[in-house]
Amino acid sequence: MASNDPTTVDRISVLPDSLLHHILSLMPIEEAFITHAFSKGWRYLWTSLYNFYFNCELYNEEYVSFVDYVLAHSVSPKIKEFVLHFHDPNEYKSALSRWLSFAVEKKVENVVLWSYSEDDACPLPEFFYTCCPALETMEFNSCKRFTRLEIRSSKLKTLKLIDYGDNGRSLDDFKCRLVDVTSVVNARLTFNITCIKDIQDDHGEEVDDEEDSCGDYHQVFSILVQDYLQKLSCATDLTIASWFTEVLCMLQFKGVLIPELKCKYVTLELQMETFNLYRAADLLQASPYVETLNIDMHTMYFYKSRCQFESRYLAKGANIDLQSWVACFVFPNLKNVRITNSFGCLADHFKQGYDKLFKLSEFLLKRATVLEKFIIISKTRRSEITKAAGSFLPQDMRNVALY
Amino acid sequence: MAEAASSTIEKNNLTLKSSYGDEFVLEESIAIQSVTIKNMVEDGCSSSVIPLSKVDTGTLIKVIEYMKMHSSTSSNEEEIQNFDKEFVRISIKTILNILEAANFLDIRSLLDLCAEAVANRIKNKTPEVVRKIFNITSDFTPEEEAEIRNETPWAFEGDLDHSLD
Repeated sequence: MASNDPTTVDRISVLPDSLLHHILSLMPIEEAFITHAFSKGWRYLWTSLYNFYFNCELYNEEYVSFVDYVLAHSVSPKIKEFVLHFHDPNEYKSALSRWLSFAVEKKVENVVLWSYSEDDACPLPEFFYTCCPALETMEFNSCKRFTRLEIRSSKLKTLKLIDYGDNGRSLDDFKCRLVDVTSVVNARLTFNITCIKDIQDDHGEEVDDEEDSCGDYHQVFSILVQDYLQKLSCATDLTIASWFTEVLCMLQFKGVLIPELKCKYVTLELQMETFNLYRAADLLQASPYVETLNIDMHTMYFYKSRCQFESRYLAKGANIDLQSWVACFVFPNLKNVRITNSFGCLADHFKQGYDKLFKLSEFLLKRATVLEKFIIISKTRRSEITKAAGSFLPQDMRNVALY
Repeated sequence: MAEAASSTIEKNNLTLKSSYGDEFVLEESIAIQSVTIKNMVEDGCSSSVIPLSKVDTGTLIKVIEYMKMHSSTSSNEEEIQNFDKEFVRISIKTILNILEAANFLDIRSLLDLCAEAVANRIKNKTPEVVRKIFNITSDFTPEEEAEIRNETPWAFEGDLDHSLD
């Protein structure tokens, strides 16, 4: 090996096929396919791809035929990952059904679907939910709406509904139901749903200002959130975002108990503007087994209007004294806390945000009896936040880091 | 008693020997990120020196550097991410050597990192440019080459990256 001139040796072509398949499986399919033009040895490597990444931009007949061609020539016995990026999945309706059917046949393990469409959603074929025995991960990213999303899979381990939004549709259309997800251990639910009233407002429609006219709308989501938590109560790793915690907050004010959660790892993605302390505490109170808590705080880049129904609850939540609200509560298993903030540049939010962050840190430090590690990472204004947070730290903490 | 204690201490260190015969002493807890080494330790074949006949000295040094960083408890995720980014800013020949070593030693995260780095040097480039980067000689006849170009003209044109790295 050393005797050859290293500048002219073709090292890559002599790698074992398994390694070349691995490299090709990290590329979008069109990139992986191009490798067939390198040399004879590379000619048919792409037929062994086991990960498929599709970029379905604006509808393109040629792209559909290309994907059909690639799938028809696939010799891989099993598909690991099937990732589809759609500009608008509706345009690809029949192709999508065909491609998913291929994936299901090849015992696909992970399916990730992205959609950037603001319009009507594309219903996924029925067989995808019911006949997908090997499916372990299902992720829907940025999907605005599904006319149908019924998740039932006995082997599903990871379920991610990221930025799932149903902007002001009629409630009858909201059919994202979890049917059987008892096997899920890792769930990420970051919804972003705007009240129906705000949507009407945006469209210049006549808005009834009477306070609770959208109460039914929120009621339906309260029930939905309760149902989600109930069904996912056995998951050990749970991530939720602002909207979800806001609904939880309303439930709490109504005296509705959150089902006990078995999760050990909790991640909260919270928006600074609407962040109020006890929302985090609320969920944690229902999670006595939690060992690791991650809180990611960020600012929204655009203004989100609030209906009166929401504003009222948010104001009520903001004024609550955290210490007395959950007076005798401790976190018996909490060992690691990591708070990351990536605030935007809005000056007003800094002061308000830090204030809340310190209160939350104080609360956690006082209540976590077996705490080992407490990390605050500030991506802005480093010195200010670390200086202030440092003053709360107890002497006997084993491992504290402020970045 | 004293003997038993000293052998326990020794047990915590492993000696890895490269294909050039150079020896490196490494803590067992770091070395067992390699599933291959872990299996050898569990099977009791690691009493003396572990010969790695497929890994040359330069490559082994890089692999050890990677394992040390990834077992360090004092570095946070961000530091590790930056380390990984810098780690693959090396010649393609070295990356391929490490890729093969990671495959042989069965270090999944290192294998993924190197495979990704190789994929990044293929992506968004014309076949001609990739052939130059990797010293791949096209063994197609001119007719075959023309046929491929006709079948997939989009692979040879458009807004592609012509840089050789």
